[in-house]
Amino acid sequence: MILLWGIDEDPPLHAVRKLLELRGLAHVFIDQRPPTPPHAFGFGRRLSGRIGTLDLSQISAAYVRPVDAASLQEYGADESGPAIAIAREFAATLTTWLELAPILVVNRFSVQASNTSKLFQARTILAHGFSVPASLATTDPAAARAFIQRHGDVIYKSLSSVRSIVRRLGVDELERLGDVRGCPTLFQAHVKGTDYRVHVVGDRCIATMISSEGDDYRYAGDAEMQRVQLPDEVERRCVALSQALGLPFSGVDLRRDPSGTWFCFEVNPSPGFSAFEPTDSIEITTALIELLRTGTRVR
Amino acid sequence: MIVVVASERDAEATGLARAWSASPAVIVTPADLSSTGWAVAFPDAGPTFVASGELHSVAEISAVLVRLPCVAPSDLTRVELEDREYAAAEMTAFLAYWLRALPCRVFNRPSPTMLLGPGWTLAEWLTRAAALGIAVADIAVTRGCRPALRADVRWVDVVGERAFGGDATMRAWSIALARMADVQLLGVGFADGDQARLAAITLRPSLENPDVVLALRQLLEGSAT
Repeated sequence: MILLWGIDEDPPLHAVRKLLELRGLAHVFIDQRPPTPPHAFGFGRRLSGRIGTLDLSQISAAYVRPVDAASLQEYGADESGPAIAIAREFAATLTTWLELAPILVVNRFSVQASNTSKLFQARTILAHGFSVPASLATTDPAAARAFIQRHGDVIYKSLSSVRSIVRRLGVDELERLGDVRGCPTLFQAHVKGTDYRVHVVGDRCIATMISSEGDDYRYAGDAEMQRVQLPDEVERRCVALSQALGLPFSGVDLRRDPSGTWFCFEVNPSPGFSAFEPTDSIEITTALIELLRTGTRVR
Repeated sequence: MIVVVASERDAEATGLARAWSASPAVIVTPADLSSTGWAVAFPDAGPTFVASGELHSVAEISAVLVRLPCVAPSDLTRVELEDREYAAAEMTAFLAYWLRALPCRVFNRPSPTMLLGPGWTLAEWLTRAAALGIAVADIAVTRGCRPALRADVRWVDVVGERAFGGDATMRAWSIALARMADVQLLGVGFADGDQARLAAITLRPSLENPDVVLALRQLLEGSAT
């Protein structure tokens, strides 16, 4: 039986749930909306778990995309309230069970964490044959200025997994370079080229080419997407990279520059893949369900 | 130069850095990440860093002792209140990379989930330890009822391949646990009874025992036996 955990309004989770229903595959949906279900877990000599009437020993695979309970208005505005505390405790305990259970989990939170530090993850990216843009993290305005002079066209973005819009440095930002004194800031040489999002599902790649005039196509509003076939070698690198990070399912962000060099910016450990499914396709959803149905534990 | 990465509120770590200052040893606190001078060019860890407000070359570092699980918003009193959460996440991400990229000895090396090593919960430690054949205190979690951490435990401190405190079985189990977790510094708490059972874990072992401090010094200097 496949376990789904999150909220049904989440497009990727919703897509997987609908297709599981359509295919008649056994699954159970743990809804994060209140009330938090009764549960009992055991850790130590014997790993056990029960949520309502569900014995977790029946679970063979899990697809998990939980959100913080505080982001759900049904729990109320009081972040310190008992309902949110119970929901968070349940989430932490289920997370621990998922870390330990001998099942396929897409994806375990411990491996999702590789993306909490972009440069930390970039070391693994570099080791798998992709190029990484010249990067500087600094609290020194003079060092930042020297980097900008050396590379000319430079972007800045967050170091952590906190979502930020990738921006190119303009006149305003140059005037505010002194702000870097307050917190290490990541600068990267801008790479011209074409964006690709590669969804790695097990050992399979589903690639989408993205055309956009924006520095960050996610926010540009002009993104045009097209399914493409990547060169075999690039596919092999994507699969090896995803496996090295312990991710059965991932979203690899690539850019091919005009010289043909493949850069990798990051590997998304919980990709919102729905945005990359054309209206007439459920290719990624289908591949993910096949992975969940047949997959074995990765780790 | 030995670098101690710790919170300003970690009295043991700040005391240690003071005691070793002639060696020399310096302390890097979250406040230093709001100081001019850090420059880290990927894929390296340098060229420069800041400790106690002073600029240093990364090439001077011989070893690092990590005592900080993450940068917490409450560590950043000099940062505007509304920016603290974001800054704490950014600084933690920065340190995770820096500590991984340093070419010298770093104890413990960070994992993606925690700067001190694996970010396992106590339930994870207990279950993984039980799989090694170590006696553990089972815990049960039900809605609204989380197990209280045991305070009445006997601690064993692991430093590299050595363990201090407890009996021979506890020390052997503790070293096995540290190896399994791929860490060199580990505090392992056992509840005494008919049979000692693993009941508590810390990746920031106490520095009260002079033998532990001496072993730590030897580990950092690369002279541990």
